[in-house]
Amino acid sequence: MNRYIIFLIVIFLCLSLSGCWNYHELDDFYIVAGMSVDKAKDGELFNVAVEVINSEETNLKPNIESQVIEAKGVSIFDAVRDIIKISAKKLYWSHATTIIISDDVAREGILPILDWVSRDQEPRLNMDVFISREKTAKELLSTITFPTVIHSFELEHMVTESKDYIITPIIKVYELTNEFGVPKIHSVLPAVQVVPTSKGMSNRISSGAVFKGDKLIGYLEEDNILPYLFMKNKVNGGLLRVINKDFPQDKIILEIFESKTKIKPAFSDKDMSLDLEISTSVNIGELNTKTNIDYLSKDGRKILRKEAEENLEADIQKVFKTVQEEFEIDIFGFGNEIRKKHPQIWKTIEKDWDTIFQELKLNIKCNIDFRNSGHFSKPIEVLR
Amino acid sequence: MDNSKPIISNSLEENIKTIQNIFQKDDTLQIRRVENQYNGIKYCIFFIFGMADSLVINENILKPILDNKVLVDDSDHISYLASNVLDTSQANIIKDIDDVLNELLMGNTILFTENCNQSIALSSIGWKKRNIEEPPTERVLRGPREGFTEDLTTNLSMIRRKIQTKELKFQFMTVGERTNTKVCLCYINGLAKEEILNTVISKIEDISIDGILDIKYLQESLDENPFSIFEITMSTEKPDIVAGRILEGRIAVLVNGSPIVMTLPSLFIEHMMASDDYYLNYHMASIGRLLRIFGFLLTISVPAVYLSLISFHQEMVPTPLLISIYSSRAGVPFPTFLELFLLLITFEVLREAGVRVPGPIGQSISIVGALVLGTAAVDASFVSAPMIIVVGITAITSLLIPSLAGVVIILRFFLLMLSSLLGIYGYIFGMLVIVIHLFSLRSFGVPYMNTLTSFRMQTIKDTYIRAPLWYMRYRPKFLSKDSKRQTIGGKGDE
Repeated sequence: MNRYIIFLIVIFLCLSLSGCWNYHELDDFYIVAGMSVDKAKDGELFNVAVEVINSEETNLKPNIESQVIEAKGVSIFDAVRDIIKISAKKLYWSHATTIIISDDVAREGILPILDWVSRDQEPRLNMDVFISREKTAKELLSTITFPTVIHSFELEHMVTESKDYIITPIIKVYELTNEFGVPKIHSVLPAVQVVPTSKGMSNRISSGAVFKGDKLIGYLEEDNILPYLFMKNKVNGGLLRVINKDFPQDKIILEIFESKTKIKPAFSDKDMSLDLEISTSVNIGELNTKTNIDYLSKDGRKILRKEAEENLEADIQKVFKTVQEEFEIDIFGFGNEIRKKHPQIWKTIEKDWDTIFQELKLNIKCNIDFRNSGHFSKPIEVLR
Repeated sequence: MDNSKPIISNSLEENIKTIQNIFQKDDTLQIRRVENQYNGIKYCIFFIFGMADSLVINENILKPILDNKVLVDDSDHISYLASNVLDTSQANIIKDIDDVLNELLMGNTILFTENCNQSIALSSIGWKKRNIEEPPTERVLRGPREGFTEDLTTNLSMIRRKIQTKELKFQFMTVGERTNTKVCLCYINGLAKEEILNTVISKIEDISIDGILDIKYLQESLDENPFSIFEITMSTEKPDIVAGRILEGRIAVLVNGSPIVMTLPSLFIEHMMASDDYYLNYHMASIGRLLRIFGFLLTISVPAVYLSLISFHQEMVPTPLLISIYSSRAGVPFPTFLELFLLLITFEVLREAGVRVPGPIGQSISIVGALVLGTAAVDASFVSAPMIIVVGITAITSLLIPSLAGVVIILRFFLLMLSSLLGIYGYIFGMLVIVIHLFSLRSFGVPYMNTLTSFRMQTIKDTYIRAPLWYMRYRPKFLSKDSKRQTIGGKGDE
């Protein structure tokens, strides 16, 4: 009997003295949706704005609104802690989805931000990172949003729910930190700008922000993103524009279903080149022709295929050249491919990779496979 | 009363006195002295008012003995009476005064005659009985609707009508020092396992209790795990369920005065079965089973899991769901645990109130509960709206398994307490405790969770799902001695 009593006391003490581990009521904190990081005007400090979900009690109807709270600090954590002085409630980071970094902060380095996000136990590593092309990052948190009242979720919705329809270099925090860990690889982050809509200014994912190490060095313009993604083997969808170079008035839009890029390094005595084998399956999305060529006939299909492949190849070569000349760094991860496939050779060339990259040549072989032509098997005829 | 046991003497007057002495101050004892007008033999009959049917006494007892012209007054005329004169269905000659008393108390009539130290017990039982009705707690969509009554003989007849074989045995025992209640074991000879039967019989013989008013009195005495919240026997009010279980090799225990029949050994999964399962299409029945299992898990888990997610592991809730819960919790003054606890208690109070009160008032209680408490509490933001949904789901799913109604309340609050202290960790810990306990239970030697861990189709054919009847070629091996159902092709070993 004594043993039972002691056992019960032990159980009781275990449960009561340990306290309620990690117990916190839902309404004791604010749920953070996203954050933006700017440079404060007076130089050294960070200006961190946090978008929280605020709920107001109004006649039973759940009513949520976005609220942006802002604070300064010498570091991100410092600023985030400072926000509690304004918000009164603790911030809860586990549901935050978005980090927006302003241009000037990014040019100085984004490592301090990623460090806190990865080190703290609450924020998740699958947050999306964006670079603001506007003056500040904060203003992106106060634009009009479409799918939800919460601005941060709008950007997250774009890159997760609609990733098969938009062309943007999506990158999560953990992917970014992984890429930092691979030598001679440089990253491209999605950049966001503000566009006018009928209700006011709204966010738009536009170009790609090119990073050297953790520092922003420039932007990859919007038209260059798709070829970039082809080289990175990250195409999920999007549209392929085909313009017949003999008849430039014929514009055909192809919808990409899936695409795969195989990269094979080829070595010769003098120089090095890469073989890119791109196989893409597409659907004819739009047939906007002014000439009489029937692109759906047997011969027409051959022309279309040839034109599409040549177009894509030329685009990729153009973007590759731009990157070689403008940024002079490997943002495609080609070095990593060589490292994986020929680790011995990579060891000898790793030091000089940046110079080798500038001389690198691409042999591109596109293979576009047409799945179907939509509902119509012919162009729509106008007989007048 | 004197210490020496009274005996039946040769003198009629003495016998009358003896009986009267025993029944002092009991005014329900009726004594009727009669004398045959043809040969002058004196008789006396005793019966208890209300227990015996006076029509039987008039027509089948008094009339034959009074109209008898041929009887001669000799010492053996009592056996002549029993065999040739009286026309009740039973007429036993008894010598012992204890037997006389027992027969009297059962409602039979005792006949004494002159110069005879024996008496005849005549069956004249006739009291008011409840009609056979559909039991309100076990309604079915299809299938037999009759339910047991409080009368043991009626109940036995209902089982016998369903299983018409000479192998169906009814074994009577008497339990209860004061009530002398008749208990009947019912099983099929050759299917029920002897060791289980012997255990039950010896346990019932060992019971020493004042009275048995319901099967539960017996059940608690038989239970091998007296501290467990799970009962290791099943109870039902429907003869078809009992017959089905007897056919699987189980033993049914009936008690006079109770419409509930206990079957044993029992398995946990039997709580998830309904008699409908066997009368409906097996696809539907299997869905019903799975729903009930799912409902059982939901009704014990939903409050605990909700509490741990909302107050410990907010990161595990999908963001849109968390936001809507977050917004509805704005302005609620109580901590989540208290809110949930109070609502669950309120629900249990309403349920308990609804069970005890008469029908029309019960409806008004549910209106009070649903409208006044539910809506008003949310309107006044005393509780958040998702909490009402959580308690609602808990309440509705608990109705899926009425036979476990009491158990799920205890389990639910047990898990709720643990998860209020430790979150999901506490919930998992609690579930482990429950599972380990369930697997350690034995019902008369049969593991309570038997066959639930098997992956063989023939073993789980009647557990999570209800297989078609042509597939049930074997009886449950752990229950029945002879597990092949030859008539539908069971052959070889299972």
